[in-house]
Amino acid sequence: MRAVRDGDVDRLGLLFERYHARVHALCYRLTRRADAADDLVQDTFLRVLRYRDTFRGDAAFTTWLYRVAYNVCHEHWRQGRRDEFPMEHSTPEAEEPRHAQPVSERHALLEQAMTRLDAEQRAVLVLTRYHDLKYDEVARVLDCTPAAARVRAHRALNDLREIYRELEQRQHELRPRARIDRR
Amino acid sequence: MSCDRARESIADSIIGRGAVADASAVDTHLAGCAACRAYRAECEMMWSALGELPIPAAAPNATARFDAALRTERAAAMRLSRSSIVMRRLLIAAGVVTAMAVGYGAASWNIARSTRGAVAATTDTTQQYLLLLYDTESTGPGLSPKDLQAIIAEYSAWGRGLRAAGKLVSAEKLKDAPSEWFGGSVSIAGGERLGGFFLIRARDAAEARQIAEACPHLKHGGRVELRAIQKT
Repeated sequence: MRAVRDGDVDRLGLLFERYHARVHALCYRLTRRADAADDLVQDTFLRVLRYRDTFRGDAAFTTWLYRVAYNVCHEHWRQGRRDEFPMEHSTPEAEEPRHAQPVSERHALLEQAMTRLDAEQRAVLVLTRYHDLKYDEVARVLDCTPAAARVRAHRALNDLREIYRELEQRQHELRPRARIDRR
Repeated sequence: MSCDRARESIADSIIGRGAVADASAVDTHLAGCAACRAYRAECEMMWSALGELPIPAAAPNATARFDAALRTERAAAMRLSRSSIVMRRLLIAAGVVTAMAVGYGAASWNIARSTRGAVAATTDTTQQYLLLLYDTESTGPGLSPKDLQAIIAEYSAWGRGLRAAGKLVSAEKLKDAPSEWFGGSVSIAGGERLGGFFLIRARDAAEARQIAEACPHLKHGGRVELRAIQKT
């Protein structure tokens, strides 16, 4: 990245090759749309090119890259594409064809629970669970203090648990009724 | 230890994947608190299941698409840079016109002087040199009055200096009309073209170089070619 920042722009292609899958995973987990994630990855790396001068090198490149990607996702959402960055519950059946299908009921519930978290809570969990970031690194991505990142992570985990339990409870309640309806 | 404190530590140990400072206190609490044990089990289950959620692969044409976007982005940046150059060259062109006007005045003054001293003029054996000034043929947005004034003042001062030192023979600006070539065109890099010339006199090549290097045309991104006149 330092070479890119210092003018060797051709090396951005190498960075894309090396990191675009990770950025895609992040964007997908934040938006839950593979096609939108494809576009957001492109936007992220073009933004890396445009704002390369702002890379100071005092933190890991991936942290800076995730911050750019997070901002791109957030901007994408703020522009009105809420359906691609859902704040509310969405069912797997309503998703786009390229969405990964959950392999079990538990996974399906968890996916639903994740979509019910607000964007920042989801980001905290995604960054820690899938990208192995520590609180201070999450703080850099979300532009907050490490203490705030820690609190948000705790709340996100608690809220996810509560939502998951609620969804699980509802599903248990629906099952006997479904059996009765079939009779 | 309270349940809230214990759950904070449990969350830290799961999210941070490491031991927490008060691990033994947490263990003691868990031994006597079924709710917190359930909390830990549920969080660990969710954390583990989160890792199993599938993520679709990026589009197979992602790299090709980015390469194309990068090319477009760089071309746009190049155009922007090019327009900056055009602007700079326009400033130069304005200055050159003024300097040529100064040169024209010098030539007229020299002719008048020659008339008064025809013998001296014809016996002037000082080596003459040609400074060829290249700029762009592009046209673009107008100049700000401030920029124009600064450029003109700079070129004028340089032209007056040459005239005062008796180094200027003549100077002309070429018309902006397209060139006509005979026997094939000569290619000049970067779309530059010959915009005018100064005919100077100098003691030797070193002095001619000094004059060329001081030409404001260089400072503003133009090019100057120095050629010695072959006396016949």
